[in-house]
Amino acid sequence: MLFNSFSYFIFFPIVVALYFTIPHKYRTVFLLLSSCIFYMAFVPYYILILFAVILIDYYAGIKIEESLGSKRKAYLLLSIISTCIVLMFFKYFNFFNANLLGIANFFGWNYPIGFLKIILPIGLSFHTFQSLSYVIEVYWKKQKAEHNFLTYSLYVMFFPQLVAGPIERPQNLLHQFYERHYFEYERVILGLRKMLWGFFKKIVIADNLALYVSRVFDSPHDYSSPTIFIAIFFFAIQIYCDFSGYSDIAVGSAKVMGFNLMENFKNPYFSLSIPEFWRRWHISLFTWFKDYIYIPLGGSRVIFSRWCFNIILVFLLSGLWHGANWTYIIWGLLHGFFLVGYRLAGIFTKKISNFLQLFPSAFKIFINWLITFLLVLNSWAIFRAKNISDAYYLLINFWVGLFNIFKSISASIIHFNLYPLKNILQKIFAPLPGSSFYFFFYLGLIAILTIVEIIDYKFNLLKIVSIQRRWIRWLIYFAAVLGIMNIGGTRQLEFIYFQF
Amino acid sequence: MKRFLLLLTIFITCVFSAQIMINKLVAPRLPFTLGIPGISNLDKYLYLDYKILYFGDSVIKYSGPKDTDKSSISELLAKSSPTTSIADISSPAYHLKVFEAMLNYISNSSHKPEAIIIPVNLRSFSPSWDMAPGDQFENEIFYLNHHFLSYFSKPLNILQAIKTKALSEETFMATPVYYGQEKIGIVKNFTDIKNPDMSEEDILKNKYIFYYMYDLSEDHRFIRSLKKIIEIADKTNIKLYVYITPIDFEGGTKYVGSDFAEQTKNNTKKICAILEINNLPCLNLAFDLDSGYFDFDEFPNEHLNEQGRKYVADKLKESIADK
Repeated sequence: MLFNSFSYFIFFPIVVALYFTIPHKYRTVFLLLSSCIFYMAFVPYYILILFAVILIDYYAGIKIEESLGSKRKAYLLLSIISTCIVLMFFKYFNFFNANLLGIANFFGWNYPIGFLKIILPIGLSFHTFQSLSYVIEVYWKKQKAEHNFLTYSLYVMFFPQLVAGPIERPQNLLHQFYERHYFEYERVILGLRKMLWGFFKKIVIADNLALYVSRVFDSPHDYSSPTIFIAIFFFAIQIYCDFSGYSDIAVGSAKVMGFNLMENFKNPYFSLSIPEFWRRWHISLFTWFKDYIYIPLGGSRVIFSRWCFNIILVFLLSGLWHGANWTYIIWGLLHGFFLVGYRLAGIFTKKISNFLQLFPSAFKIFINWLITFLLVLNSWAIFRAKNISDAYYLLINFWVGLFNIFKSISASIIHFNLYPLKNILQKIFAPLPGSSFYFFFYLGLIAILTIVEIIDYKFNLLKIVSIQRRWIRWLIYFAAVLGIMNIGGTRQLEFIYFQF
Repeated sequence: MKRFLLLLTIFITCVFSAQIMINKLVAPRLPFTLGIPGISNLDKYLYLDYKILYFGDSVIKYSGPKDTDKSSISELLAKSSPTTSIADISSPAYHLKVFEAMLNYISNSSHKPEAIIIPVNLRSFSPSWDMAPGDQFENEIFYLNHHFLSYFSKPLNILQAIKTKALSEETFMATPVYYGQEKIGIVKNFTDIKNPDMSEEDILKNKYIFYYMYDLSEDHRFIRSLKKIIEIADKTNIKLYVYITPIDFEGGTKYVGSDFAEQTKNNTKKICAILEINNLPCLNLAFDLDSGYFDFDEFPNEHLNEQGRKYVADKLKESIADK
């Protein structure tokens, strides 16, 4: 079931109403059943795959806890391998097969293995990672094994975060299923407020920008370099609003029922460096990689070359996690190299900072932000490209486009002539549906997002809204709901991260 | 919880009222559409009290690459009738079923035009259009027929709240294709032509057969829609100008033979008969133009070039003046 579907608008209030009505002892079963209905709205029989993952890790957790010495490790490895096999089979089989076939064809070998006609079960990467998190934590003795099968199943299947995270840790979520939650007005309002902002980001901002973005990315060769630059910029906003919108709806939905899920985003586009970006973007995934792969590999307490290897490996895996496509792998690797580059640059930091001290601090902040943002935009071009050749074309045209836009604006200012600006705007308007009005409409939406993000960055948005007078709060809700109803995208679009 | 439910009820009531007000009062004044384009434009033109609304498909607006004047038929008509306000509500593949729903919507509106122009495209009765899954406009028809829900068409559409019955690709492909009254195959045979031995002439012949050689039934859903359109217009005192759009009669005769003339004339007679029974003139332009008035870039089609569009606009002007 999609959050942005009529079914969810019926499903969610019914679940919440019944949840607070039924006795506490039945609530786990009730939420589990609700989660099954939620998941089965996509492809019903894929719940069997989810059930297999749950069963494996449930027993693995108990066995790990009961065993000693090497047996513990054996159970852990068995659990990790079994869970990963499920993921590998559904997500990566055809990808690796296609690459092996390519190699075989190159050498003229006979390659007999065919392709599987399967659809990736929705959210598989998310719930397998959540399940793996549990067995690893039990192995590390940071979490007791859950003996109640229903509670453990709910930990993996809890519907607000089932298909696209946040990827929760057992320490944060499991105990909450045993707590008694009451209908608390303030908390419910807080949850609904978060959901509302999530819906606004997804339906109004992301889905409107999607039209421009998909037209350009579907056939980039039909458009000029300034258009490509704008499309990449719009995609950066689209993917943020799409995914953080989803996360807000998930966190808000859980909060209404009394559950606290972890925050997945903290104003990532305000980051002043790539390492900071990764502390603010998809936090639940990158803390997962940090805790379960990066730190066990030695983290940063190793020699420089080993650290580089660790970082590159983590980001390679993160790229692979996103999808079975070379564009995702390169996207991951690129971020790995950015981080290595950042650390290498740190060697010269002293000289650079001595030089930068000549400038006011606002200028330094701006330069840091600009470099980080442009690097992130670069990586999104690869992430969204259909294939490597498109990615290359987009990357080249990203910089050419930026240069051309800058040149046109400068020429217009220097010569007091609007012609160069008009000329470039005409190119930028090319993918718009009908009128140039939409371009300024998109810019208006981005401006709203920026203002809200600044408020959130400085003060915490939800708290700021809470302290306003009632009529102001209502006016904000009212405007947001009417905005969603009237200026949202033209049709229902799936969340981008559902495919992962 | 009681307080919460009370506040929620008040909030939802306010949102619903505001949504109706926005769609009734604000949206028609905006230079852009808030809802589903076809319906929103209709609201706008009704609100602006246009005297003549021109419904239509892609033929109305299509212009060929060689045309110097790219004006649509409705624009040409408006230019030649400066005292009458004319607006078109058209979209590629709109058909009589959509026009019926639009007239039904107008009949419930407090603003009504004086007249409506309805083009009858002969190809629209053929399975190539009538049964094509992408040409059904189930959503638009649903909201046009459910006046109140149309205020919420945008959010309901985004949330996919209304699941209209759509024709499947399989049904489309399995639809019989007729040559007169004789079944000569199914749609799949006419859309999936990959036979390299087939000459260009045979391909064109097949297309003409597929598009025009059906024997028009009195029970065809578009014929029923036409009758309904006449009935609603009569009840609401809206003048109707119905015309049959030109087809490449010359090309059809060249590739299919004399049967083409016989069959298409039979079909147009049936349409004209329905109009004449209801005391409406039948402006039959189907056979007025030779191949030179059509645009042949893709395949033989009903799309007109500059001269063709001008011819239709002039004929419509005459027809309106006569009435």
